[in-house]
Amino acid sequence: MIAALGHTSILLAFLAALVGIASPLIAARFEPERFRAVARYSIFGQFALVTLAAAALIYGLIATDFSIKYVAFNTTRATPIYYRVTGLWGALEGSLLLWEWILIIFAGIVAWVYRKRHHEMMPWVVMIFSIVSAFFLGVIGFLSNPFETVSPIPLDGRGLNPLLEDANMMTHPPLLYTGFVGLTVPFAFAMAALIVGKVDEAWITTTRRWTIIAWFFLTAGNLVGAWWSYHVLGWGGYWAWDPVENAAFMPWLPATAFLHSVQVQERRRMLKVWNLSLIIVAFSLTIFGTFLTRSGIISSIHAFSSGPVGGFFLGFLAFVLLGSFGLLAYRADMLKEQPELDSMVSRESALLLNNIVLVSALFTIFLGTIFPLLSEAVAGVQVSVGAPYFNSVTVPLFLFLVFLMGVGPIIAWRRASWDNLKRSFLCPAIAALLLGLGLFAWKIRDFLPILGFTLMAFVAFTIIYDTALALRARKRIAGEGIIRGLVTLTRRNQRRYGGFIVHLGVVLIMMGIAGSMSYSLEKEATLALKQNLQIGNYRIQFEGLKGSQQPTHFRVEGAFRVIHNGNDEGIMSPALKFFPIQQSPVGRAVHQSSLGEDIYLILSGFSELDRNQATLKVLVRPLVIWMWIGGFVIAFGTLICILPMKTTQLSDT
Amino acid sequence: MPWRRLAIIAFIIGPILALLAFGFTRDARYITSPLIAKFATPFTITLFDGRKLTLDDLRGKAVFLNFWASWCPPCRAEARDLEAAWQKLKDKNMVFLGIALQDTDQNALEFLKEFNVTYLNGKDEAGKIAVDYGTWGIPESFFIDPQGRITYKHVGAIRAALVMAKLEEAAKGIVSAQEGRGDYQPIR
Amino acid sequence: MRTMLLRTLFGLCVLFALSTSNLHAAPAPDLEDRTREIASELRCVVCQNLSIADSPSEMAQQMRAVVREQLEAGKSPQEIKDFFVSKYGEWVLLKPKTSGVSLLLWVLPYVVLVVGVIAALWIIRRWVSKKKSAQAAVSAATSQSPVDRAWLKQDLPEPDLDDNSAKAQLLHNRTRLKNEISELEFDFQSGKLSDADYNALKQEIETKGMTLHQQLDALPPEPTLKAPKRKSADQKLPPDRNRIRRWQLVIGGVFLMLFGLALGVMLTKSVRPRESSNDTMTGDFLTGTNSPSGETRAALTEGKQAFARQEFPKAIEAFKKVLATDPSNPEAHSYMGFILIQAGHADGALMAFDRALSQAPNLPMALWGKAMILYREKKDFAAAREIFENLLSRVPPGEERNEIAKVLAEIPTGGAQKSQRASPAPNAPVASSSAQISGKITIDPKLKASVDPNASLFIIARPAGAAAGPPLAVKKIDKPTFPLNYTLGQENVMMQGTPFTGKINITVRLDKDGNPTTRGPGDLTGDNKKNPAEVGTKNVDIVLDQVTK
Repeated sequence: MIAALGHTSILLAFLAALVGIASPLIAARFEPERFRAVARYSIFGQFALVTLAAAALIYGLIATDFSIKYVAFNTTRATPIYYRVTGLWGALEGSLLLWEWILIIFAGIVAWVYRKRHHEMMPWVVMIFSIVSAFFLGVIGFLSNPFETVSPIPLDGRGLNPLLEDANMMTHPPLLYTGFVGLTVPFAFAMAALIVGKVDEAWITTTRRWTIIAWFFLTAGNLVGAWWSYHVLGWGGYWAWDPVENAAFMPWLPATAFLHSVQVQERRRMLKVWNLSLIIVAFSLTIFGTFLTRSGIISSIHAFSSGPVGGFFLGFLAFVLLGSFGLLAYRADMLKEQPELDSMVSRESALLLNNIVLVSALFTIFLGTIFPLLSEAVAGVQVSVGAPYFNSVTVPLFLFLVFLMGVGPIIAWRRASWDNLKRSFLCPAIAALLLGLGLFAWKIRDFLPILGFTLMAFVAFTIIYDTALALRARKRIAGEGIIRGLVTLTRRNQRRYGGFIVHLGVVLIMMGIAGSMSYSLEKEATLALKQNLQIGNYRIQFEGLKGSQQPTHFRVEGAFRVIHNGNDEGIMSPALKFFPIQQSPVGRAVHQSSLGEDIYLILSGFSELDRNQATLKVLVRPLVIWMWIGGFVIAFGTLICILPMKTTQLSDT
Repeated sequence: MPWRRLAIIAFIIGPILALLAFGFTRDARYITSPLIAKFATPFTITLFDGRKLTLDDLRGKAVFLNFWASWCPPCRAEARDLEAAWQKLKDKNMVFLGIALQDTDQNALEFLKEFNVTYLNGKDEAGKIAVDYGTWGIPESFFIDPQGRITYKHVGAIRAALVMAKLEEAAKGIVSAQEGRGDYQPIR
Repeated sequence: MRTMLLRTLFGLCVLFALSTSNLHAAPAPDLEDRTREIASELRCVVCQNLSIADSPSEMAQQMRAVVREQLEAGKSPQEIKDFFVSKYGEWVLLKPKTSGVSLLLWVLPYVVLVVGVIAALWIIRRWVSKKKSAQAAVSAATSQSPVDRAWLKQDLPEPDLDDNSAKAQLLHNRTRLKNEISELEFDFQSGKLSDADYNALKQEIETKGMTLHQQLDALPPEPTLKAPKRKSADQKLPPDRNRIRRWQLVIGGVFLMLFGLALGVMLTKSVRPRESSNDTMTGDFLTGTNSPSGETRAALTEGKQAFARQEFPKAIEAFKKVLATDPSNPEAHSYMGFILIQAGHADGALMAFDRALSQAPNLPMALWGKAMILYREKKDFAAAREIFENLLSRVPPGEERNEIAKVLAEIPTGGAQKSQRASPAPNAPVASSSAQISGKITIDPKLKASVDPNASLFIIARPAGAAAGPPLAVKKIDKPTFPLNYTLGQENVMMQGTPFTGKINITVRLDKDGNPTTRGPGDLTGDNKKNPAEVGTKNVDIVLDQVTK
C-alpha cells in the first residue's frame, strides 16, 4: 500500500511538473495572471506530492516494510531507527528522491517568497524548476523506482553498508545535496532573465542571495565529508581527490567566483555574460557530479553502481549545457555593455584575477578527473590520476588565491595609487615577512610551507590592520569603543565584514591543510605487549587486545597508552570491526586533537593466534583542528553576510 | 541567429559529451594487463601435497594458471568447469595449476574437496606471485605456451570450452589479441 | 600598471619554482619511510583511489611487502615503480608519467592559468584605455555646484527593483554613486587615502553625479499615473522585441530534449553488463537495485513457462537468451540444471547449479537441484544431507518442506559411500585405528591343490557400488600362507589422502604372475560373502573359492 501510494504520488508529481513546464508557454495567449497562478500551484502541488512520497518511503523504512525492495535492501530489523531514516539516502533510488525533495522545497520557497514580485520572470523560473524536477521525477518514477515491490517478502533485510552506519551520515549527504540543489535557484533565475531579457538590478540581488546560501551548504557539506573521512574512515586523511569528491568540490569553485565577480557587476554593470556563464557552469557541474556518481564511468569509492540512470543523466546534462549556453549565445547581443575600468591596479582587476584563478583551478580539477577517460579514448593507455598529482598542481593555484585574498578585499575600487597601496599594505606585509622569518628561524625551512604561511599571515594581518584603522576612525568620529565600533562597522558594511570573517575562516582551513600536508609524521610497526613505538614527541605502548560482541558486529580493540613529552595521556583504543556480511574488517581509528597537532592511531591488524601482538599505524598530523575551526568561522561569516541586520539602508544589501 | 557562436559552443561541449559517452563503453574497474606476450615470471610454489614446483619445471608444456580463492563466488562457479576441462585434457601435454590467494590452508582444501579438484594446486604465501602476475581480480586465468610466454589472460570465471580452446592455441604458441572477461570480484 | 605586472610576474615565478620544489621534508633514510614514500605513489588495486600506503586491504599489504623487499635488495625507487608498471600498467602510478598523453595533464593547467592571466590583463588594459579615451571626449566642464553635491547624498526614494524604466536605471546609478562616496569618505577617515587621492576620486564621482542629474532632468515628464496595483496584471504582455518568440523556445527545447533522450536510451543500451557488487568499498550496498532489464525478465518468464509445460527445447532457448545478457543469472542456471538432469547430464547439471549458487548461495531451487544430484547420481550422501538440512531451515512449513523432509529421511544415515575423492589432501585426518577392516582369508578345501606357492595375494577393496574403476585400497602379500590374518587400512589406499571409510566390497585374488591388473587363468579369487563390509569391522572372513578360467 505504501509502495503504491508513493509511486502514484511520484507519477502525479511528474504530471504536475509537465504542467509547470507548459504554463509560461501558454501564458501569453491567455491572462498572464491566471497562468502565473497555475505555475505557482504546479510547484506547490509537486511539493505536496513529493513530500507525500518521501514521507511514505520514510515510513516504510521506519516500519521495516520489507515488501518494498528498497527497504529490504537497505535496512534490517536490527538497524536502529536513525540509520533507517538515513537509509533514505543510502542507496541510489532514495538519494534521487532526496534530491528531488530538496529541489521542490527550494522551488516552493522561491515560488512563495516571490509570488508578488518579479512578475515577468517568475513563470519562467517556475518552468526551469519544473524542467529539472520533471527530469528527476521521470527518473524516479520510471527508471529507478524506490517503491518497487519484492515478492516473496523476505524475512529480513540486507541492511545498510556498515561503513555508512555513522552519525555523519545524517549530516553530510543532506548538507551536500542542499548545496547542489541550491544552485538550481540562481540557475533558474539566470535562464529566466535570459528569456525575458533582464539581467540587471533585480536579478543580481536575488541571484546573489541564493548563491550565498547554496555556497554555504556546499562548503559545509564538503567540510563535513572531510571530517567524516578523517574521523571515521581510518586512513588518516581528509581528502583523497577521489573523482566523486572532486565532483562535489567543483561546483564550489564557480560559485565562489560568481560571488566575487558579481560585485563588479553591481558596481560597474560589467561582466554580465561572464556571470551568467559562471552560474550555468556551476549548475551543470552539479548535474555532472550526480551523473559521475551514478554512471560508473569513472571508478570511485563513492560511486553508486551503474544502473540504467547513467545514460539519462548524460542526456540531461547535454540538454542543460547545450540549452543554456545556446540561450546565452542567442541573447548575448541583448546584454551588450560598455565595459570600462579606471586602472589596472584596482579591486576590479583583483576580482577578475580571482575569477581567472578559480576557473583555472576548476579546469585543472576537471581535467584530472576526466583524464583517465581522455587518455584511454585518445591513446588507449590506462592511467589513473591520484592525490599526488592534484596536490602538486593545485597548490600553486591556491597559494596565488591566498595572495589575492589578502590584496583584494582591501585594495581600493577604481584606482589604487601607490600611496594608497602603501597605506593599506605596507604594515601587514612587513608583519607577515617578519612572521615568515620567524618561522624560518624556528624550524620551518621548506620553501612552499614558508611561502604559504607567510601569505596566510599576510591575509590575516591585512584584515586586522584594516579593521583596526576603521575602528580608530569610528573612535575618532563617534567615540565608540572596540566592541561598539565592530558592531557598527558590521551593521553598516555587512558584506564587507562578513567577507572578512569568511576569508579568515578560509585562511584557517588552509593553515590546517598546509600543516598537515607538509609536516605529518607516519609510522607503522608490529608491537608485542608492552612494546613501544616512538614517533615525534610521542611514545605509544601496546597494552593489549580486547574482543567484544556488539549488536551488529564483532569488535576487536587494541589498547595503547600514549605518552607525550613524558606525560601519560591515557589509553586510546583503535578498533577493527568485523561485520558478518563484509569480507574485510572495517577499521575504526581514534585520534586526539589539540591545537597544535593530532595524534592518530589505526589498528591495522593483529595476530589471531597470539593475542599479544598488534600492528599499529600512528600518524601525527599538525594543525588539523584548524580546518574544523575554520569551518565554523566560515559559517559565522556567512551568517553575518546574509542575516538582515539593517535598520537603515546605507548600502545595497 | 548567431550561428557562429552556437557553433563554437557545440564544438566545445560536443567533445566533452562524446568523451563522457565513451566512458559507457568500457568498465572503469578493468585494468588491461601489460603481460600478454611477455614471458611469464618464474616462481616457486609449495603445492598442497607438499611438493615444491617451479614454473620452469613446466617448460615444454602448455600451462593453464588459475588464481582463485575459496571465498570468491565466481571461483565456485567455474570450479567444476575447470575440473571437467582438466579431465578432458589430462593426457595431453598440458598442465593445470591452481594458486590459492589470500586464503587459509583449511578453506582452500575444503574448496578443493567440495569440487573434486584433481589438478595441481598450491598456495601463494606472501602474495608475491599475485603481484608478479599483476593480479587485481579473482579469479584470473593465464595461459602460458610451452616456451613460457603468456598467450592469454582471462579475468573472471571462465568456461570449460574457452579453457580448452585457449589451451590449444597456447600449445601452438598463438598469442591472443585481447583479454577475456567474465564474472569477477576484486581481490581483497 | 607596472605594479600589476610586477605582481603577476612574481606570481609566475612562484609557480615555476613550485613545480620543481619538493613538498615534503627531506626523506629520512629509514627503510620504512622509504617504503612508505614509494608506496604512497602506487595505487591500490582494491580500494579505488587510495595509495597502497594508505589502503588497509590485504593486497596493499602484500604489495608493500614487495616494495620493501625490493628496497632491501637495493633497487632504486624508479626501478621499483617501473616494476609495478610492467605488471599492472601505467594505471598503477598515482602520479601520471610526464610523457605521452599524460604530458597534457601536467602542462595544460599551467598553460591555462598563464594564458588566462595574460588574457585578463590584456582585456583589462583595453577597458582602461577605452575609459581613458571616453573620458577624454567628455570635456572637463566641471562646474560643481554645492547643489549637485548635496543631491548626490540625498535619501531619495528607491525605485522598485522590478522597475525597468530609464528613470529607475538612473536612480539606481545614483544610489551606486552615493554608496561610492560614502565608502570613499570612510576610507579617507580610516587613513587609507591621501588627501590628493581622496580629492581626485571625489571629484570624479561628483562629476558623474552631475552628469546623472542632468540626464534625469532631461527625461520626458512622467505620464499621468494610472497605477493599478498590479501593473501588468490585466493587460496582455506587450510584444517586445526583446522577447523570445515562444515557438522558437518550444522548438529548441523539444529538439534538445529529444537529443538528450536519444543519448540516454542509446547509452543505456550500449552499456556492457558490468559487475555490480563488491566493486567499491561502499558499492556493495550503494548499488541500485540490480534488476535485469525488461527483456531479460520477459525471457526468464518465457523460459519458466516453457519448462512448466515440459517444452524443453523452447525453455533452453529462452534461458540461453537470458544468459546472453545476464551471464550469471542464478535462476536461469538453476533451470538449465534441471533441464540437464532431465537429459541425463548429471555433471553438467551439477556445474549449472554451482554457477547458480555462486551468485545466490541460498537460492532454494538450486540447492534442491544440487542436493538431488549429489544424492541420486553422485551418491555423496553426507554432502547431500547437509544441503537438504540447510534447505529445510530456509523453507517455511508447507508442502515443499514436507517433500524435502521426506527425501532427507530416505538418505541412508551414517557415513555413507562417497564417490572417489581425487584431491590430494595431505591434511586428511589421520586414520584412527578403527579405520580398518580385518579378517581371515582361507582357501576352499576343494581348491587347495591348485594353490601356487609363488603366487601373490591381492586384497582389493572397492567402495560399495563402484563396480569398475581403480580400487580404493589394495594390499599385496607375497607368498602367503593360509589361513591368513589380514588387515586393510588407511595406509593401503591407492590415492594418497583418500579416506578409508564407508562400506567396502572386498575381493581377494591369488595371482600367479603377481600382476594385479592381469587376470590369468588359474588365478583363485574370492569375495567377501557379506559384502559390502563397513570399515571398522573385524572378522571379515573371505574364502578363495573361485578359479579364473
